[in-house]
Amino acid sequence: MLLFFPFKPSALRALLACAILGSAPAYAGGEMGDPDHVDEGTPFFGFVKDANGKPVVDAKVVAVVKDGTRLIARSATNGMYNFGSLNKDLKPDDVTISCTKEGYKQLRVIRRPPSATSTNKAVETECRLQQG
Amino acid sequence: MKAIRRLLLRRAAAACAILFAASLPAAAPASAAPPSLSGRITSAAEGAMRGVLVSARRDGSSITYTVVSGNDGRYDFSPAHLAPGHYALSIRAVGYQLSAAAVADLAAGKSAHADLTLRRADDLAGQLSNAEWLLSMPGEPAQKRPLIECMSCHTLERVLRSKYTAEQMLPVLQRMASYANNTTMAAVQMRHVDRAFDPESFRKLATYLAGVNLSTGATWPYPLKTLPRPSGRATRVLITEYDLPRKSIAPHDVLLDARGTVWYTNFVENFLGRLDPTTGAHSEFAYPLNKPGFPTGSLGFEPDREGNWWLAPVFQSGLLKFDIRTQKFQVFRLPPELDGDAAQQTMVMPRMAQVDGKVWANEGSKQSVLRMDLASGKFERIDPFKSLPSSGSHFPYGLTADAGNNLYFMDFAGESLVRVDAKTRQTTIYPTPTPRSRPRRGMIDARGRIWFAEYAANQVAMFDTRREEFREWQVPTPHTYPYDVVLDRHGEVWSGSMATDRVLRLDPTTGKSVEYLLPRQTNMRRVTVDDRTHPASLWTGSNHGASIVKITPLD
Repeated sequence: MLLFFPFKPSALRALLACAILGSAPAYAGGEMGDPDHVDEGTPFFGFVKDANGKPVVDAKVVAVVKDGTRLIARSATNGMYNFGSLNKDLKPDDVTISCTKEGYKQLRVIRRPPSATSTNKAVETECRLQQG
Repeated sequence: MKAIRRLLLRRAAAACAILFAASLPAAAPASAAPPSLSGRITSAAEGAMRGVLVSARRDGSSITYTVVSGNDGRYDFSPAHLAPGHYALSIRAVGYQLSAAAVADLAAGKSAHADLTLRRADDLAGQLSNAEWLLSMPGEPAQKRPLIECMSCHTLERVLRSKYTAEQMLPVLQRMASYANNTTMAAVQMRHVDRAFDPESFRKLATYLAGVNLSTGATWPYPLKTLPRPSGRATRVLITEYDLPRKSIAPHDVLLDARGTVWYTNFVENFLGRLDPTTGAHSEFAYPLNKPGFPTGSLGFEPDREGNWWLAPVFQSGLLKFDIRTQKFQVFRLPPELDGDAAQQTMVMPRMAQVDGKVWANEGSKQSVLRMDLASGKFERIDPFKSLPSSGSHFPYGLTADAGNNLYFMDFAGESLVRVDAKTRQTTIYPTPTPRSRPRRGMIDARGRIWFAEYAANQVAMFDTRREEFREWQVPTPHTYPYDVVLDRHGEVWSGSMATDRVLRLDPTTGKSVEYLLPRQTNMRRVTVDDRTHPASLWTGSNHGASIVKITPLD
């Protein structure tokens, strides 16, 4: 059975990024505090995949910000990780993403910055691991 | 109330020891065995009743013992070693009450028998725990979630018995934002700086509450649901409650010293409390008012290596050290540039201060942590969230430190465990696997594993600092909202609830758990274990009920 998606892959990614923008740690703390994140900066999300493009679960994904702050997440069952939005003063290049998992070595990290015409500014990073 | 408290503080220049001899357990004559008390519990509706909590309190005593009836409806106070005397008996079995007042006269070496008959409760609503209200109320989880803030100061019953319409409820909610977090119904305290809130969220909440309270009728427009009574292992327990001498005392953190003496912070008054569980002797140690007019009381406290107690005095700001030998307090004030009307130190971590001479603390109003140099008394402020959006809310809460005095804290307003390196001050943020978990309090074990409560996710969790990975366990009862987690030396994990009146005991290896119901509404915060017993015993405080509670499993 063929599944038909009426979107190009890039459009799918844009949709996903929109969903992330809407749901990512948009948590303001407390339960009745101000939920507005008016100064949210670039959100970072992405996927960890193996050499064949299959999702890698429970890989450690590290985002290092230029000030030295590290954020560490684990990839989910679909290989996805999500750091949410960082400070608005940070540029995408101020953040470096890498991934590790026992029994794997990192092949490469592919960054897909938003296109110039895109309305969202999420940065997607694909981290490729190879067994052995 | 405030005037009385100020008077107390002025008069208590140093330690004021209060010994209430009437509460001492009367020692039975050495030659006679303690009396025993047992009986059977029945009701017309159920016959023999399992899982009924039976409490016995001797006339004039401040100590209440509670056991739980087994499958045959029988209860037995043998584990309590009751002293001879005249006892009043009470029960907890949701939906039921005693048919008539029950008493027992115990004489040395004699067996007493008291069968108890229960009937349907006149007022079921008055018996519901916060969790049972949340289970009963219709509505989406997102609508109920804000109510977990209310439980900090009072029960949800208070909210749901109100008759306010949405329009009337809105100003009530706004007024709530003006109260200090260290407020109880016995000691209401105002903030100097109101909490920020979102008006639209308040309007939605007011509308929701008006639909579930008594604004539209004499009874609630939904059936009241109750949790099952204890069964199996949960019935094999002895609970000992030590009532404190004033209703206004709000024990928040409870810890044991090396001798097994119980110490606690008073959340609303400037006293450190001490209870000798073997004699019932209770003492209070007053500390000075650092910021007159600001809310009083302490939240977190921890020992240093010498056994001195360090207290976080919330809105009084700064830190306090209680010298265990001289029994005197030393006050460490914040410098003016770090202090302010909203400044609040709720946590302190001196346990590894001997490593580098630094004590960690938090500064809730600035979403930051503080570090004080013991030699100079100077504070430095570190912003661990500087790389995240500044408008996002964070609250460094439960603090713990590893062998290198590197700080790990729980972001209670967020969803992360955060490490601050002691040497470089660099921050590592570890989001919990469950989003919006609001991690609250916990501890680090000898293997570098942090055991902590994911308050809003209804989970307890473990973070392995060496492997940098989490494990999470769901708490069996919904709406438990675990506050704190402690690991005992037998490898079992314990937690208390602010909502269910239940104590959780979990084996993280098997995932099996047991929940011990307490005899009264018990809003629990910090929990600690007495590892000298096997299994371990748990100690906690009834933050709204002015008592110290010990849970002794009998398996």
